[in-house]
Parts: sequence; C-alpha cells; structure tokens
Amino acid sequence: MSVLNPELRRNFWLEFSATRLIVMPLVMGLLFSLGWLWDEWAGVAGVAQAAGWAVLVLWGTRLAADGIVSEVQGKTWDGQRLSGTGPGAMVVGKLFGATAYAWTGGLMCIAAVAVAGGLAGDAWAPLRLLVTGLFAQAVALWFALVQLRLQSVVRRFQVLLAQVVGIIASIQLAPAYDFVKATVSWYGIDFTAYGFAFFFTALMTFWAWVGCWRLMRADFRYRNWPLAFLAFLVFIIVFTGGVAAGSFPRLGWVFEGAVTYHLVVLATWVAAMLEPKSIVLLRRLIERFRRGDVAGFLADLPCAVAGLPLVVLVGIIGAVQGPPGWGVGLQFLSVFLFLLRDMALVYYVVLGANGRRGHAAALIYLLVLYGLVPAILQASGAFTLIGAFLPMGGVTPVVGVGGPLVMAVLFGVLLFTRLSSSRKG
Amino acid sequence: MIDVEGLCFEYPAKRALDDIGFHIEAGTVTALVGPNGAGKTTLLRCLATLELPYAGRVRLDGIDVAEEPRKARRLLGFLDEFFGLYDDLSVMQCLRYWAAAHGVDGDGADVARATAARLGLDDRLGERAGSLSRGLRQRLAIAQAIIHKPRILLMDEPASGLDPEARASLAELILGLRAEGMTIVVSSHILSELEDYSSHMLIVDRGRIVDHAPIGGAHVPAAAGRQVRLRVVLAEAADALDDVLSSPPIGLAVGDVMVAADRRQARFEFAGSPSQQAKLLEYLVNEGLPVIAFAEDHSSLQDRYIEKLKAARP
Repeated sequence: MSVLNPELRRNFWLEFSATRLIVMPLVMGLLFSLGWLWDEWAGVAGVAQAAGWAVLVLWGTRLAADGIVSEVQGKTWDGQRLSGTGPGAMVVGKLFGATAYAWTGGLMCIAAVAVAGGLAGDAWAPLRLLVTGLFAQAVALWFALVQLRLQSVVRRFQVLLAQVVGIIASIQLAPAYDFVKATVSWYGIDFTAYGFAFFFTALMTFWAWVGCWRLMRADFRYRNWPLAFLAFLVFIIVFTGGVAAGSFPRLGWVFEGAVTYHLVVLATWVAAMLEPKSIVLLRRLIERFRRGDVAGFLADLPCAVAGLPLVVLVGIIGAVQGPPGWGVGLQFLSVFLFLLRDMALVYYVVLGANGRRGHAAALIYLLVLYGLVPAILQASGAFTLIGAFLPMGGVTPVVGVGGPLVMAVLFGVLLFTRLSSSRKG
Repeated sequence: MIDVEGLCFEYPAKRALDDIGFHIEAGTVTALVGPNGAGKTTLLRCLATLELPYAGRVRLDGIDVAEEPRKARRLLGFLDEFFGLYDDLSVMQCLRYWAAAHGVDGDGADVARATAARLGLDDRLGERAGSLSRGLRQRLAIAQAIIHKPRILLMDEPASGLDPEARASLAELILGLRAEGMTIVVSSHILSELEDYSSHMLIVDRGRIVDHAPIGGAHVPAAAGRQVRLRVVLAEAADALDDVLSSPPIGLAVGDVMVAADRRQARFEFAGSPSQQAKLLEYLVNEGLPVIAFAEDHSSLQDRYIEKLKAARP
C-alpha cells in the first residue's frame, strides 16, 4: 500500500502544478516586500497575518467544503465511500489535501509572521493563525458534511454556506478575545486573553475534527453510536467547570450550574436541528427497539435524543446547587420543555410531505414562536403570556412551564400521528 | 457468494424493496432486470453497501455488510450508471488513485498498466480523463471498478450510451471476468445483450423478486441430458395442461412450466435426448391433449422476461 494517504496524494496531483508552485511564493514574496516598504518587520508581520487569514480562512474554508461537494456533484463520492479509505483517512485527505495549495501560502505567511517577531502585543500570532486556519477549515468541512447528510443533493450554494459558517466560527472564537484585556484562569492555569482564545480554539479544532470523522463514518454507512456527541457534552461540562473554578470562584454556581446547563441544552438543540430526519429512520429506530436490537437501536438513535438524559442530569444537579428562592428549578424545567417542543416541532415539520424544505420551514416557525409572537404579546400588553413563548419559568412559573409543556405535548402528538399515518400508508 | 434475506428498503412514501431474498452462486453472471422503478438500482446499492436497508440482511461471501462494511467493500467493485471520473487527472493517475484507495500494494503503477491494457486503454495513459470519448470513459470507469480484482462486481446499466462495438467488447470483458471466477451482477434494460453473457436472470418488479433462474433452464437436473426449452401448442384450451406437464413419466425431466393464459400453449424446460422428447410428446397425446405443435422454443430472453412479469402480475 502507498505510504501516502491516497486521497491526500490525489489532491496533491491536482493542486500542485509547476505553475502554481511558482506563482504562490512569487505573490507572497511581493506581498511581504510591500509590508517591508510600509513598516519594515512590523509591516511584514501585519501583511503576512492578513494574507495568511485570507488564504487559510477566507479561501481555505471554501476549498475544504468544496472537497466534499465537488465529489458529490462529480459523482465520484460513492466510489470514495466504497474504497478502502477509512473515515479518518478520508477526513485527513479532504482537510489537508483539498486545501493543500492554500496551506503552502498559509505556511509561508505563518513563517513570515514568526520571523518578523510576531504582531505587536500578540506573541501567539503565528500559532493563532495556524490554529484559526485549521479550525475554520474543519468547521467548513463539518458543515458541508452536515448539509450532505441533510440533503443528498448538494449545490454550489452549500459550499458558500459552509464557507461562511467556517469563517464566522473562527472569527467568533479567536480574534474577539483580542479586545478583552482580562486574565482567564482555567483549573488554576492562568491564560492571557490571547492565550485562552488560542487554547479554546485548539480544543474546538479537535472537536471539529471529531465531528467531521463522525459524520464521515455515518456517510460511509459505518455503525455510529452517539458516543462522540455525549463525549462533547461531557467536555462542555468539564470545560465550563474549569473556568468557574479558576476565574469566577464567587460566581461558581453561575458557571457550573446555569452556564453549563444552557450550553448543554444549546448543543443538544443544535444537534437536533442538524441531524438527518426521515420517517424511515424513525420507524427503523422504533422497530429495532421493539426487536431488542440494542446495537442497531443505538446506531440509529439521534444524538439529540441520546443527549437528553445528560441534559436532565446537569439540570437537576444545577437546580439543587442553585441559590434557593431564585426559581432555578422552574427556569431549568421551562428551558428543557422548550428544547423538547422544538425537537418535536422540527421533526413534525421535516417529516411532512415537503420534507426537502422542512428545515427551512421549521426555522421560520421557530423564529415566529421565539420572535414574532412575544413581540406581539409585548406590544399588546399581555406580558404574562410571554413566558409561554420564551424560557421564563423562573419568572412566571405557571405560564413559563405550562406554555412550553402544552406545546411540547401538542407537537409530540402531531408527530406521533404523522408517524402512525405513514406506517398505515 | 451473495446472500440476501428479508431485505426491505423504504423511501418515505414508498417501499422500494419488499422482503427480498435470494442467493447468487460464485462465478455466475446475473442479469438484474425489471421495469423502471422496480427497485433494481436500490437493490444494487444495498448490495454495494451504499444504502442501509430498513430490514433484512445482505452477506457477501459470508460477511454481513451492515456489521462489517469495510471488510465487505474489499470484495466489491461497483460501477454506477451515472459514474464520475476525475477529469483533471490523467488515465494513469486515475487508475493509480483507485488502486491505492482500494489498498492495492505498491504505488499501483504496474496494476494500473495491466488493467489499462485489459480495457484497451494502454495507449491513453497520459491523456486527461476529461478528454476521453464516452466509450473510453466507460472503459476507464470499469477499469477503476476492477483494478483491485474484486470477487464481486456490480454494474448498473454498464452498456448505456455505448456504441455496438463497445458493447461487444463489454460482453467479452464480462465473460472474461466470469471465467476468472468473478461473480457479476449486471442491471440493464438491454436484454438481448444480457443474453450474451448472463448465466442467470433475476427479475424484480414492484420491489419483489418475480423470478430468479438460470438462463437456459437449469431448473431441471443437469445430469438428465441436454437442456432445452420446449413449447407445446394445443388445438384447443385444456385445463389439465399444467398438471400433465408437471407430472411426466419417470425418466423424463420437465421443469419451470409456464402455461399461457389461454391454456392453449405452454413453455417448459426439458433435459433429455431427442428420443426422450418424442416419448414426452407421446405421453402428452396419450393424456388426451390435442397437440398441434411441439418443438424447441427459440423465444428470446425478452420474451421470457415479459412472460414471467405477466405471470407475476394479477
């Protein structure tokens, strides 16, 4: 067997022509020269950092997402799925192969920033650029795979969407900390804002790779238990726990309880939105449960559903540890009921007759329920009813818990009816 | 080599495969036929491990494809009807890539050259895949599918868009691969061509198996003699035609009897010498059937396919 990952080698054949190998150093050399003329080493570092971001994040995300989409459109994807290349090797091949040419330019920029002594006040600049590039590209590939799983027919627009998601994720997670001049302590380890951003982005890069690997396994039709997602939820709990103990000892509960719980709920909610949904999958899941086929049942079990027991556990622990008299338990309960309502609503809408547009339709319904309806209630002075549409169980207990409960049951019944009617059909 | 049990596949509004089961022997070429929308492509994709069935089991050489998809894929080559090629790579690079992707030892150059020579592409190794004609692209796609010498080859409409000469070489290639012991399943609408190289026919209609039989009538014991398909025509309808044919005297081997709806004619497999054919005719006449024609049936695979489909439909 060839030592080099076949997918990586194929991409190298495509990406590295003699002309391209000459053009990239030439363009980068001219850019660095311009920086030098502006402000000597500081100018080189500034230009290299900006060019590196453009090449690795702006362009690299597009190449990473296109690595999958072009295969599907070119009808070579089934062949790749059937080849002996495993999901891990395929992720590596796509992430570092499809983006290989961008990385040649990106590495030149990283080297230039390092040689120039980094950016003023940012010792981590070269490493931060490296990790941001890796993270943004991994998120773009992950989102391209998410779209592929949601809809087997992919379009060029989806490359752009994955690119935008990759760019936004990398912007939010790294440079924003530049403006925070605080020291962050994590389990007693002190970080500068830059350092913490670098550390967090590096951790999230790992999880983005895990996400790509898991989705690749799913697309390769390997048995895929929701263990990676559960591990990610545990990571959230451990990570926020570290910030609480280090930086906010007096606000420990807020981090350990409230923030952790809401992040775990958010991750479960996002998983519920992004998972493929079909009547057939759901029926097969129920059938496997009835037959006692545990391995098959776990392979078909949606991550979001698998995460619910952990959400409940974190919620109960958080509520018990929370300050008494704040209505923490009711607030957590209302958030949980909204999660259930949204899951039932999205499944109900997506499993409808026009499932292809189901996710977009479900998103609109959620926007109406979370935005438009509360705005109308506020404008009409019916403030107490707002709790039925926004998680406010701690403030208005009856409406805040009763409202989402009624809606969760309603959409649950509708979903059950849809499932039953499809079985009869 | 291929075992399928209780296979069901569902689309949200339709059951595409309904409790399908069959066994395909090693070293055979099975023609997978059926009307449009019958479930042929879905069945091929389930066999190829590309789709997860709703229920049922597919085993390739004893390997459960749901349990061990990667292991099963090592046995498989698959050619999709709408295959894609890496247009910017040369023929040599395409073949080397797929050789490596399928885990072929070495850098794949020797295997690539050998496979290209087999498909008549050895003088095109340096050309870009995107510059090849339709027929050459098809050959390259087949070369990619067999470069790792799979034991099972699944092909969906491999002859579509090919000129007569290319179709003839495809038939030759399939027969050559079968001679090497490869088990091949070919889905196609062009029945006259399937006849040239297929040993078995698997008819699918509305997600169910209508018929799975050897082409040429291996339903009767091979030891009984030369196998032929016979046709008997009566002067008038006889309800007993089926019963009489199904219980021949000892020593005469009759199988796979298909009686026409008007009950005036029947087709069946027969294994035996010409004198045994004469004995069978004598038996039919003695049983009171008004026989006006009794001869070898030279109707095509297509006639048989239509006959089976009609018989299966209410």
